Amino acid sequence: MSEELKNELPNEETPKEEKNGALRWLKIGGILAAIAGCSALALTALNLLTAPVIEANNAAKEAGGYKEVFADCVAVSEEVAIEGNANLSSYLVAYSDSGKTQQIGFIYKSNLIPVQSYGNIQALVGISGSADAPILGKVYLVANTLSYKAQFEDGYVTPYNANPTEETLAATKCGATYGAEALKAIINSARDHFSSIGDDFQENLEQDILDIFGEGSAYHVAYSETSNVSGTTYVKKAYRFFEDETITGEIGRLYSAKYKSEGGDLYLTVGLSGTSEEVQYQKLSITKNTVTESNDVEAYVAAYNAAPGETSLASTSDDYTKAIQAMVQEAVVTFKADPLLSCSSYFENMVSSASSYSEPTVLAEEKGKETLDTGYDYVMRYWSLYSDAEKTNEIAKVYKVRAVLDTVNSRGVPLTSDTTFLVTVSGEKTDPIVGKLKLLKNETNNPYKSSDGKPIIEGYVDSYPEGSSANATYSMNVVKSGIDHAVSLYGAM
Amino acid sequence: MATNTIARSQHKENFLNPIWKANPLFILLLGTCPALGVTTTVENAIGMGILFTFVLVGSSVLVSLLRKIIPEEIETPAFILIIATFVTIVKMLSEAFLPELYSGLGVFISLLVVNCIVLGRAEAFAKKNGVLDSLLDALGNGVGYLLAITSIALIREILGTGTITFGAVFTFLPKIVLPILKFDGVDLSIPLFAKPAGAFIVFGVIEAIIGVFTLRKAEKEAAAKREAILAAQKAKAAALAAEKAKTAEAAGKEDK
Repeated sequence: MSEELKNELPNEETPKEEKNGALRWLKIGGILAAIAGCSALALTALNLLTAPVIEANNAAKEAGGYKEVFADCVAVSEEVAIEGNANLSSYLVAYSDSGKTQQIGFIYKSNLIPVQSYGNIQALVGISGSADAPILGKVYLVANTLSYKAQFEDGYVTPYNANPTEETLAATKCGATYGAEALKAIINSARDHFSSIGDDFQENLEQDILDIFGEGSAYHVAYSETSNVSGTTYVKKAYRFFEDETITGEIGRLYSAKYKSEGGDLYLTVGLSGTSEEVQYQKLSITKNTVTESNDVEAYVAAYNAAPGETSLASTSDDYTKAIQAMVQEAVVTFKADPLLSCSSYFENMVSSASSYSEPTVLAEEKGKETLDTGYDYVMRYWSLYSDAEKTNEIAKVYKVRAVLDTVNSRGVPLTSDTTFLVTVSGEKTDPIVGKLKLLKNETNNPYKSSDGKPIIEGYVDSYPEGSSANATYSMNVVKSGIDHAVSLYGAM
Repeated sequence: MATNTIARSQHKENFLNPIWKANPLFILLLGTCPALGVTTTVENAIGMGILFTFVLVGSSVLVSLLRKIIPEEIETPAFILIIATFVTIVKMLSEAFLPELYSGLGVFISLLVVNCIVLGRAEAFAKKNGVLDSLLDALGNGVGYLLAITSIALIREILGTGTITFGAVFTFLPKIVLPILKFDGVDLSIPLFAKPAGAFIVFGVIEAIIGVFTLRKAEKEAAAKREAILAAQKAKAAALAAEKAKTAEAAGKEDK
């Protein structure tokens, strides 16, 4: 090949040069691999040293976190793994005693959740209450490496922990919204899990009513309201019973109490009525009994039910009967702290000279109900009030009246109202005197206010009889008709 | 002997320059992200400064040691690998032995991997210089950065919380809370300074002060230089005049 031709050919590497180039790149790759290998070895060695320390630190931090979640947590159960949940890794049961007999709630442990590119969070979440009505508890951050750490904690976690409710849970716009949304998802997952595994709180209210108050009692499931009780050890729910469908005039209460121990569970329903000064103990009903000495427990409850009262609780010896005593006593304390809102509780204010009152006389619909053009009024029941404890000198009668306005059109606005109130009538039958009114319930869509700025029916009732003619509306006409009906019944009796 | 003196002077300059004249944060404006993010408390800033110095010294020394082995083609990945190793070491050690600091600094520890001072010193200095020089340069940069972020944190913690707290992060110390702006029920703190906006304000004010002093110094130096040039010119003119006079005198003598 001529020298000229050689110069015209492209500048290609000879096989020897190619081999040298490949060797060079192999060498470069080898150097990088060696550095990476040394690095991996160093980190592995260091990990062997630090991993147990980090694990111990985390365990100590978590143990401290249990107390942050439930302040009275003394012991926890074994950790139970949760499979297939993106947010949660496990849960534990928290107890308020070292013997693990008094359950407070569940503590859920989340996975380490990445929050966009801002870092990670890991939290402990407390959930208590019952499966169908879980109560949100506090959260504790086991890990928080967010770059907006302070905003996240100050803007979301602290307000939530101060008041763990749906409102604070939903308030995620805090300057660290992604972190807050991630924590909200963890809390919601914990609540869902708590509801799904169930707290096996066996409830059969109808059976409880039958067991405690007997057949034909005034207690009906339809006339009840259920609420959760928080801040207590055993009592978890309260069922308020009312005298009629208006859900006014409370007549008694049942409390669901739970006792959980490693020896078994004991759930009770405790019946109470009367006043905070004079509590009337009702019977107990066992809703769950898996304790080892279940026969003893049933015998104790049967003995108590024969004569319900404080004295029947006194003679206790073993743990389970002591637990029954504690559950009843806690129910009584809860009852006293939130006394019954019975109709009779208003009598003293309505007729100051009254010192006793009769049992109520219930009027059937055909006798007490009066149909009007715009609705109806219904004198539902009445009580006789006496000036003496022997109930010999009647001084007044108190009528419970319901006044319902069916939909009427007022200046283009469809108005309805459903008002229940007590009215006092006294004096001669031929010349009855209408006394004080007490509003028990007022459900209306009437947007107008009375002259004193109160919602219109409250304003009318509170100022009755002085303001009876002022600001007359359809609703007040129905109320007035109910009062007139009560007065006419007084005269006819 | 003269060589030794020059070398010592060079070592001193390598260490001291980054602390004051070429401070990485205040003068070169590098590493501002953690400087704004972790300076809520003095303890956090000191902790960050120490971890940063450890990573910088470790990586610079290792880069310097390996500078003749690492081929040019893989310099950057190799440096990042080395830096990442030191950052992971720091992360593991702080999580194990200073959990409060680890929790307090959060993601900023991991972010040291991409800190421009660390990679910058490896690229600009350690790969071209010996181990001792690299060590001193890294140490100087680390101390300079530590002092810079601690000064920001000092101002922010005092103004933002009204107190200075010790022992909250370094739990081996007794917990001390010094009430500087809180006394007799009076709280003069301004919470804004504890928030990110406060970091920007403090950093901006410090930069402005440094800018004013730098400008004045530059003006003074320029004025001194001008004066020196003028003096030199005057001296030159005087010398020329004297020369001329001397020449004229000599010519007069010849005429005679």
